[in-house]
Amino acid sequence: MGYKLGQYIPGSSLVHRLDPRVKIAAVMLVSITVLRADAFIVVAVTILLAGITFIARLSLAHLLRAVRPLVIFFALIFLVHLFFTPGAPSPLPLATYEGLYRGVLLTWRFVFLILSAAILTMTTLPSELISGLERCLRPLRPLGIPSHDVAVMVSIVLRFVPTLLQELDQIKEAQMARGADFKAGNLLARMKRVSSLVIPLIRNSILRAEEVAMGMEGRGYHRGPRTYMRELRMTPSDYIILALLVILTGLGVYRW
Amino acid sequence: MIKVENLVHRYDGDDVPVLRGINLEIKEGEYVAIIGPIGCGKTTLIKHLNALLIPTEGNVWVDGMNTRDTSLAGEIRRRVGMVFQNPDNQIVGMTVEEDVAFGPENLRLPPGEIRRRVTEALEAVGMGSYAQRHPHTLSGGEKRLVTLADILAMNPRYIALDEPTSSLDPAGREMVLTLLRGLNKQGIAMIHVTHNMDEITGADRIIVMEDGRIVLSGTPGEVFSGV
Amino acid sequence: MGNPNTSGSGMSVRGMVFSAMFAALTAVGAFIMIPIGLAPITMQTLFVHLSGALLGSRLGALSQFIYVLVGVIGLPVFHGGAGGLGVLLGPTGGYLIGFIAGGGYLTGRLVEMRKKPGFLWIAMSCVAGLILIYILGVLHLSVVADLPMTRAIAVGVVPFLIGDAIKMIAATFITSKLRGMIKL
Repeated sequence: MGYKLGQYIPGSSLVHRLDPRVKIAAVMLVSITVLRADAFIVVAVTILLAGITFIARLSLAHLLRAVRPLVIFFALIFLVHLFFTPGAPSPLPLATYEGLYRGVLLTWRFVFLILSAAILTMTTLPSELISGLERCLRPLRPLGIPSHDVAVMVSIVLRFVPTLLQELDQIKEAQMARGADFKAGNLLARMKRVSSLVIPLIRNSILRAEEVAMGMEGRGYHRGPRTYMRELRMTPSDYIILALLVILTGLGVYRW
Repeated sequence: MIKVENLVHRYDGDDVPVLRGINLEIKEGEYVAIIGPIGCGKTTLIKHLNALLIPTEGNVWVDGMNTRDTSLAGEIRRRVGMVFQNPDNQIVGMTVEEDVAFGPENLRLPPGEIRRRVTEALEAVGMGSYAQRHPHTLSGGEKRLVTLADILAMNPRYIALDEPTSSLDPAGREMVLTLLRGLNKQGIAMIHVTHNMDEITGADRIIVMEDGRIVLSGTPGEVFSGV
Repeated sequence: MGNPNTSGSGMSVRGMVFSAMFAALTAVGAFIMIPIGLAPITMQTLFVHLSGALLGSRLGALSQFIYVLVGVIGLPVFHGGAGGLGVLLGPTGGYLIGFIAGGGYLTGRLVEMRKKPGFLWIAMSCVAGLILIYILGVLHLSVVADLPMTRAIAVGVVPFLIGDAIKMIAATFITSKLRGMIKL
């Protein structure tokens, strides 16, 4: 199974080495800024993004791969704006120049949101992301969000997605060996066959969950505080970048 | 020492108890094999040894600590490591080293100490070079070794194993058995549940279970002459 | 089961693991497809409803919260392998909030109201959850994509209706079949 956990691209650039908390904060801050951005901010932020991509030694192909899943949706939004925005008519029937401008701006905002998050995952190991997430959620503990337990659950998800995919393949093969054809029949027949995949998958997952829970308790897991093998330490460059980010976001929001 | 006294266990909703009055002592450093047919209660019994189950009747003491005292569950589980039948469901970390770190993290050890234990435990089972691997890329035997490292990283005094070699090929099984004997020589007591007679000839003591009871107990010589 | 760690107050370790496992299943759902025409239907939202219907409101919502969180920190578990905060703030973000509030919580809450929910009751619970998902999805879409409501519905609901109807039936069928198996 070709499933890859995350899109991490190994490297040792400044972006790779930044504290995951700083990177998570960066994506949050920049995403908020860009949400109501005008053309000026969009251009400024695009230049920033290009700079980060260069420093992190990521290629354009990497970035395109991240956007691809949502291309159809983006195209739809772009076209709706292009054709349904009132304004000066353009050579294309129904389309307006205002529509073109709005379509490009809005679509680019969304592409940007996807790209900034993609750069985060491409330059940060999943386990570092979880550590960063756990630290970022700690201030919410008084609100009843147990950061330690959330981190453990996220790591269980990442641990078991590939295993469940392997299992899905096995169930599928077993059923095809018994003559099930997943590409024939009417809709109802296909739906039935999907149920015959999903039911064993869930049934096994329930038994699995029981055993996983027991295994965790057997290894002394209890809800609440625990320590971590991985330590996060902010370096001077982390602080400098964070300060720069806050200033830039402030400037961006000021322009709203 | 682990002491089991008149242990009766009945699962919620069942009329018939799975365990019907077990008495057993396991000394430090001992290698005890528990055999018996499927459904005789051997798995239920070892779940009692690290407080995963609480007796319906009777008591279980681990080094003097009663498993009924929930405040002691953490310490009991540190001393008695538990290795389940299916290694796949015992591995919860995204990478091998993170999985081995899970137990020590639960013990709230400092990061440096966790790192040291993870390295040692992986070396002890010969998986040092697998630290960064993802669990789903490992073979069944490799997963089994990881689950042993998981337990070793907690510095246990006893390890209870439920059919640790089922699903392994002969070479993998021999490797695991050799490892268990080696760990036992270093002073860790083994409580090894199996239904395979060949695996238990080296045990200090063999306990034969049937239908929730111990029907025979003694050295391999005594037990095999009695059969 | 007489387990010392599960008898205390609050969520049990078992509950946590069940939630996480259903979050993982939701991610896996993106890889199960029914090939129909140009755009195959994925089974992702099937698991969204199943998490609420099988685990109940609290754990169902938790499982979807974890699923969304895994995607938000950037792992490719959303539809089509997308991931990242951008997806939450982007045009489809409202659906993700809907997974937690509608598929996880509301569906779960309704199913829980009956001791032995019948086929019809489960179906209605799933539909109610789906409607909430649509409402949140369309509201969010119309705001962030700057679309009037009717167009947001045309883009964000209409194309999915047939697929979702099929998944409702499957979710109901699977729930009534597996409900007895989960003891939390």
